[in-house]
Amino acid sequence: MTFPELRSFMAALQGSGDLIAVDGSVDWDLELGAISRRMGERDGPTLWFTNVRDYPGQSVLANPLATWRRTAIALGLAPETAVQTIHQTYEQREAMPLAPVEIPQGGFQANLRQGDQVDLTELIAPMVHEGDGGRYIGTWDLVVSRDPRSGWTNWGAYRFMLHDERTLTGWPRPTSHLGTVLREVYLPRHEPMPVAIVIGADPLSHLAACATYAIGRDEAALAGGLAGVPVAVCRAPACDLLVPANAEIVISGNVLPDAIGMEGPYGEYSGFRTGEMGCGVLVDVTAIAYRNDPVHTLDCTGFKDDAAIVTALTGAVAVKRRLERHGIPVRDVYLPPEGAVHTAIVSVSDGGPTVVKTILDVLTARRALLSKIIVVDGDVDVFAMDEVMHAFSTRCHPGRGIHVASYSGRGNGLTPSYSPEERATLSGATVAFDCTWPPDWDSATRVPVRAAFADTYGEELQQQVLECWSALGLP
Amino acid sequence: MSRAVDRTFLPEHTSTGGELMNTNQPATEAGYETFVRNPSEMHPASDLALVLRDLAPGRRKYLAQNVIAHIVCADTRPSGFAPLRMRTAVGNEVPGPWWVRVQTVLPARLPGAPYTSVFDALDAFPRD
Repeated sequence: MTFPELRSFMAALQGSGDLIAVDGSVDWDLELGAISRRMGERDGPTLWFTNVRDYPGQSVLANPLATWRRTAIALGLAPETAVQTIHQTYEQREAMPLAPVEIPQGGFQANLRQGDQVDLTELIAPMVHEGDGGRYIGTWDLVVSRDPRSGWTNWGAYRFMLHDERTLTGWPRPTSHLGTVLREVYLPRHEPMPVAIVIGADPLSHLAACATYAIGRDEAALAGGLAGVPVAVCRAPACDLLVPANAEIVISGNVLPDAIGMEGPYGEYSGFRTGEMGCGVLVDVTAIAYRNDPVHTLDCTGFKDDAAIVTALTGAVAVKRRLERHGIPVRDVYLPPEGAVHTAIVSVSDGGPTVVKTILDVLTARRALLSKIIVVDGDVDVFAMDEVMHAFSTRCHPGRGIHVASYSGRGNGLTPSYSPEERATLSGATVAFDCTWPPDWDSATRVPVRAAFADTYGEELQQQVLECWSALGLP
Repeated sequence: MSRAVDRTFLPEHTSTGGELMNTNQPATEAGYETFVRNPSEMHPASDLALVLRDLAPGRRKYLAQNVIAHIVCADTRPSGFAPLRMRTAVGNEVPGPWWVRVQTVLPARLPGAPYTSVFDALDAFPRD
């Protein structure tokens, strides 16, 4: 069973022990962020803050999908589902999108503020990390925009900060889908770009918004495919963009083509605050609407946040599909949460330098957000980090096994190891570690044999050991 | 929105309960906060274009104001100045104490195209 809205998902999380309600008074100013951050780093349950200072009647749900357990539940799977099975489930459902259905209205229309009535401070916008540039209302959000050339509607997850009562500033990356349409279409026309910022939709709509999904494809249909039922959408307040009708909060506005305001710095999904500030976009907010007792969703970003799970999950499947399209004999791809969407592990049935260099070329040809790619043979389980580390340490030649691609204009502006100048120009590099045996090594005479139970003993002996294991009193 | 949070959608009520210690209450006059690109260039000066965030407690805390201001680094507070917390681009605090006096309030929205520098836009404003 998947969930038609956030609140039924929360009920399921509580039932599985993956949600704790925090009823004590908590300050939106840093305290809420500090508690959420610590819980995230401990892989703990999601926290639902029901008593937020200055905001009676509102609540905050922190890091809804920041563990594999919660992501499995969102997909309608058992909480203890294996990570590989979660990947396979996503991969299967991603291939079966369901177009959204439009309905007249959603619950968020219960409270509407337009024009001069708009006051963003009416809504909880936590000060997430000490040293951030401001209060972020858009962290676990779903931002709807449109390419007027084709009519294509984009869902993405982009950060937005309070500037004043009617203004948000944000930093959708220039190379993001929203940033691309803004730069290529709206700015040349000197037209404002309508956006609708959705907070607190059902979990799979947010997952779809975070997904690595090709420009021009419909994330709303992806969300429907993941859920197995179409997403119901309706008009956002004061604009004609369609948003999930189950949203808790919707903020409508326009990215202005001729105005800017201070944004950032912000502690990001990389686990660091890297110093990008004052180079984003400004949104003139035209309307806000919210359900009664709105539940805000917060991605308290940093090490092991929501992106570490959902962007990694969807990114891994996207990488796999892309490599398959380029003829790479790929078996599995995993972006470990600890890698903060900077590291990919790719297993192939046939490796070697030619394959590894092709993987590197394919994954850096457009947006190059990954900086480390570890390529392993198919006998290595990419989801088992002990196996991956063993392969990396023993099979990667420290000279011949390392390949580097450098680029400019398409790198990751949030990679902490880059200099400020590199981040500003989207310059950087990606390294591929070839942890595969050279294809010209004869498997009978040259490829080293793994000294492991499953590899170095005959099947008969292995079976004999397994059968007498318990009799020997072994755990 | 003055009512308690609706929790009827949860099957059972479990919570941590208790009141948490709030450690974030301002002990003194709140003042302002600003972020700078190069702290070494922030010698005491007038006619500096800055973005100030109001640190007064309440729902409007951290809202922004673009200003031309006079800043001072001194152990004692000059007359007419407010406390200023200065931070670097990565959010670390610049040792002070700093003080600020607003000379001119600039438009809330600065002229410029998306993805261009706010600091360049601020610097473009004429000074007295």
